[in-house]
Amino acid sequence: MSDLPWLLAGYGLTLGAIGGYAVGLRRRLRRERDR
Amino acid sequence: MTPTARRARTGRDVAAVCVLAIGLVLAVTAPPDRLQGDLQRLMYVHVPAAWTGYLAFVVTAVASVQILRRRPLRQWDTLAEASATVGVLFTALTLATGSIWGRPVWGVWWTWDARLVTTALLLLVYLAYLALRRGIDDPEVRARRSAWLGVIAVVQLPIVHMSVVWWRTLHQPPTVLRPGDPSIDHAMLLALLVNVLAFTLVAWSLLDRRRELGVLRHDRERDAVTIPAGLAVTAPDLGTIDV
Repeated sequence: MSDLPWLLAGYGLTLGAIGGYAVGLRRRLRRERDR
Repeated sequence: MTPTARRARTGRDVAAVCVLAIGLVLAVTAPPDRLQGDLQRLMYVHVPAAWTGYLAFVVTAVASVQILRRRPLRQWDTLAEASATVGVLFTALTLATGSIWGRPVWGVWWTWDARLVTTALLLLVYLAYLALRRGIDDPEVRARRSAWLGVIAVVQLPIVHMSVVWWRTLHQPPTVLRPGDPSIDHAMLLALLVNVLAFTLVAWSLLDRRRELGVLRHDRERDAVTIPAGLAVTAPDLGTIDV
């Protein structure tokens, strides 16, 4: 399975970026609501 | 936000996560490609990311047209901005996952190929769109100027999509959105379509929240314009009155 690192990188980056953006957005929303 | 809207948002979030989970299972269990083996499984995130980016930029263009037709800014400008932001995220992911696939298959992270260059230009133009918005303080002027760019920029989408047909390129030609039947195994097509649906639902959830953030900021800006800080009237200190 020499392809595994590439798959992990691709899927990890995609899911990590989407998840990270979603979490960041939640925090920004909460901060904006509290202002 | 009303309780009904909150329930609808929660329902959509749950649906997005469930469909994404199913899509990932299908991506793992779909048959490997005859030539590329398991590496081809990157297609199940690369293609949906590209599709979602396209869709988000179309939404920005539609909202931009509404702004130019002088429809309410609060509704359409926030949608245009939120959609461009989500589109930038997914287009950046398209380039990144394509690069991760290209290194083992083509032997390079990047090449000056028509599809890659047009996609990179697409990303740069929408980054410029977001930068333009940051550079203008007046909400009305910002909305109208960025709306022009939002309408013009969307012209790139057919160029990006057709780049693999119009120019000699390393990138493979269209597999699904092409004349005739899709040239792909049915199990692979199912995995691809479920992931396209999953990414669309995820993007919708992100768009919804990003737009709410834009609306809150819009209202704050409007209030700040109504009572400029420099003109704020402070009540004189009357001291304490003993009764």
